Amino acid sequence: MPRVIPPEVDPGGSGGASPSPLNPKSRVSLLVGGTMTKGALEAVAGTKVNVLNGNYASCRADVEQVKNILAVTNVTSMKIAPPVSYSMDETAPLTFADNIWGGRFPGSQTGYTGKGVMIGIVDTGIDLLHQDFRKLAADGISKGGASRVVGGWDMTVTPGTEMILPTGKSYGVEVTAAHIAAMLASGNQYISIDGVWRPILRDTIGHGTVISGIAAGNGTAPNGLVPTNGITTCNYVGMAPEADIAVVRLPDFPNTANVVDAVDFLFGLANTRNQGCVILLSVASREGQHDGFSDLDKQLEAMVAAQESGGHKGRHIVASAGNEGNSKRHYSFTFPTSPAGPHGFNVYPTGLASPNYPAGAASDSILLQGWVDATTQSTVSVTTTYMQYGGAQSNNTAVTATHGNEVTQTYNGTTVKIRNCVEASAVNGKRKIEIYVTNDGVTQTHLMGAMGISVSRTGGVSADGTYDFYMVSSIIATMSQDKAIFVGTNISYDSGITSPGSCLAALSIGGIYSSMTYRAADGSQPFYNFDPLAGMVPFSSKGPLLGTATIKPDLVAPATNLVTTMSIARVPAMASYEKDRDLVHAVVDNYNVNAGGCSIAAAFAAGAMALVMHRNGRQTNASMLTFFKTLMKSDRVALGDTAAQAATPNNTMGNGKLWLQLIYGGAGVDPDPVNPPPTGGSGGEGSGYDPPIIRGGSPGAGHKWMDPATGDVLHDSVTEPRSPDYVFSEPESATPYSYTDTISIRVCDMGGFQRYYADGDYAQKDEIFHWNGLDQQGVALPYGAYQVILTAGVHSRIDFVYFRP
Amino acid sequence: MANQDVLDAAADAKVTDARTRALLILAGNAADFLVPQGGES
Repeated sequence: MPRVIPPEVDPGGSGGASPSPLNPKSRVSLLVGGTMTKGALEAVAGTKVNVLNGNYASCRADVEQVKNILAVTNVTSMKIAPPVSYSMDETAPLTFADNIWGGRFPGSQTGYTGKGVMIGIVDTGIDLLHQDFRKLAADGISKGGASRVVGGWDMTVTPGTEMILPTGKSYGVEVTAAHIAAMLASGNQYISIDGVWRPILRDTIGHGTVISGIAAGNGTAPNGLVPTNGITTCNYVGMAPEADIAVVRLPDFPNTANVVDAVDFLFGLANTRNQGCVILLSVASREGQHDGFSDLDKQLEAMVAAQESGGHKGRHIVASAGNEGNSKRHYSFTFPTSPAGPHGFNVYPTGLASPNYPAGAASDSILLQGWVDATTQSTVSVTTTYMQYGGAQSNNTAVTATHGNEVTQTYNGTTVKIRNCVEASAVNGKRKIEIYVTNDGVTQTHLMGAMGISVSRTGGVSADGTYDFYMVSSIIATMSQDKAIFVGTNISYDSGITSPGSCLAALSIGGIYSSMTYRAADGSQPFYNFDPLAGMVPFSSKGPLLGTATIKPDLVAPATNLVTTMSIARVPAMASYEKDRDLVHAVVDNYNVNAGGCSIAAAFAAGAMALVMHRNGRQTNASMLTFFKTLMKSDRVALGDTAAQAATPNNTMGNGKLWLQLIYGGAGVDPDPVNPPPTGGSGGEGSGYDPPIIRGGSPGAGHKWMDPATGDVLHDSVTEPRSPDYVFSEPESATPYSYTDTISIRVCDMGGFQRYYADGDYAQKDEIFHWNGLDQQGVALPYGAYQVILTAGVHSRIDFVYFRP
Repeated sequence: MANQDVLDAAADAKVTDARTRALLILAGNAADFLVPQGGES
């Protein structure tokens, strides 16, 4: 259907590079701490409570009423919710154009598809009209069925007659299934509210659509299911192709309160629909201690706990670990004795050379937080060359705050504020040093950016005297956000897990190259390698949680070079595709649309969690986290670790790579202790939880196929170019299985396209499947990587082969 | 004219982060006009 944009539209999602400066009438998101009641907070004029949970509330209020909110009984703290950003990778180049992961995880071929489970997307919206988020038509093959998106909340749209506030929330509009059906029927993603067409959940950035496709795209774009060589095929299948999807479209400048509100809304929707729910949070905040004790982390933890205490199992959060692995936004140093110092370091905007900075915008700002043990005392000085004094070096006087004090200095339209361990109490053993620099609501002739910080330890006795400074946010309107970094001798790439990846109630996911990487071992020839550390992408945030021994991330998953769904609204130049949006699949890589980042890695895990819920039913969050950390991971020995290494999770790859084989059963492992599987006696499908029958090469071993009985290497595609033998085994009688199932072997390229297919009833013995690198028509395929997908009944596994000349 | 209530809030001991304090100071000294907030009721 040709897309016709309605004549009167609010383009939505536009926004500028910086939010508007505040004034007394501005509405702000507040995080309020204390045991206050909702009624008491809402008794303050204009104040609306969106979430009240434990000792926290998320509110919307007028700035001029903040004083009255602080006076409410039992309010103990308040802050304007800090910003969050999307966990897109900023730096990693797309390394291999042909190295793309088609999302053909076994999940789409085993009967576990996420059906009945709701995946909550909290992001930039979704392309509702994309076929990947629609069901098939009534014939079960053609495209164009009903939406898989069951509901949502667009936080950017002003409510009116046709669309109203979500229940209990004070901003945005609730998107119902009826609204979505109406948009599909009209062929565009707008609804007229009080006479003005408004974009609804429309994804003008593309990030939300990208991660939705990985987590839940069904691969039926562009043409539905296509019969090929006796089976139906589709394109890039996401992890949970039959899961329900619910979407919260965040504001243009999202903050942590928006995230809290969104999670509350989605859990509520899951309760109403009586579904298990996994919420994907591919957003990042560097605000807080990086130890699981930030406001956002603790609120999410409390919300999950409240769901469970209310009788709702199956409430989970999967979060990106963040893209801080090489970001230079963590600066750490230790003074061995007291007093000591000063230690000086700098902040600098990347990509620009001093002094050629462009002018700063009205609301430019930089926020640093430093964390130090509870007893260390310090003096902190900040010098803001080129910023505070318009570049006049002679006026470059430092702003200094001694221990326990706050100092504010305004000059030439710019304010510097330092709070140096003002609060007497520590949180999780640490106290906070904050430095905030902002323009005073006026455009400056000089750029926000370069500044020097000096720290001296002046007193106190502590265990180590370690200081950890983080670049929480840098809003420099003339650049893209988050461009300010630390410069100095003590840049740290550890303990960079962003919130909510640092939340103890969330499964946090780091990134690896797309399942495989090429590494020149001898300097002459790249080869296919599964070494887990070589496979890590450099931007994947590393643990541990700051000042603790807590391992993060929990798991790692593919984060680069991914083909996934793209929002048609993302690229205006692609308007020619509007009449057939599904074509964008083919060009996504050409546009490099958010094709990398730990956002995507988290999306894999969120989809995987939906598969687990489909299979195992709902369980507690603690049980689910343990299940993933102990079972939904690859065998790291097979990936190259020694047994000793594999026995201990590390802060780069956590417990290992997301690997779903045990969803389908594993030797001696009951993956669902809560709901034990039916016991069908020996043999037959009734047993259901026998190990997968495929025993050729260990998972991920890539180029080596081994004799399952002896472990001998039968073939090594590195030393024996071309024609790898893919070896698998029927199970022995000790591991019963129904031998009547048809076994199929499919060879697909890394884009997921089937190139070769074979099936048959194989006898109960080892079989060798020969594939000589030819496609179904006997044409030699190019050198490169291929997937071998072996399916027997509901069991499936995937392996990789790689040809080289 | 400065909004003293907002400036008072910026100095309240319950407000413990520099960013909120700075934003409130700036807001308290800013002109008192309405900024349209998308999606707000």
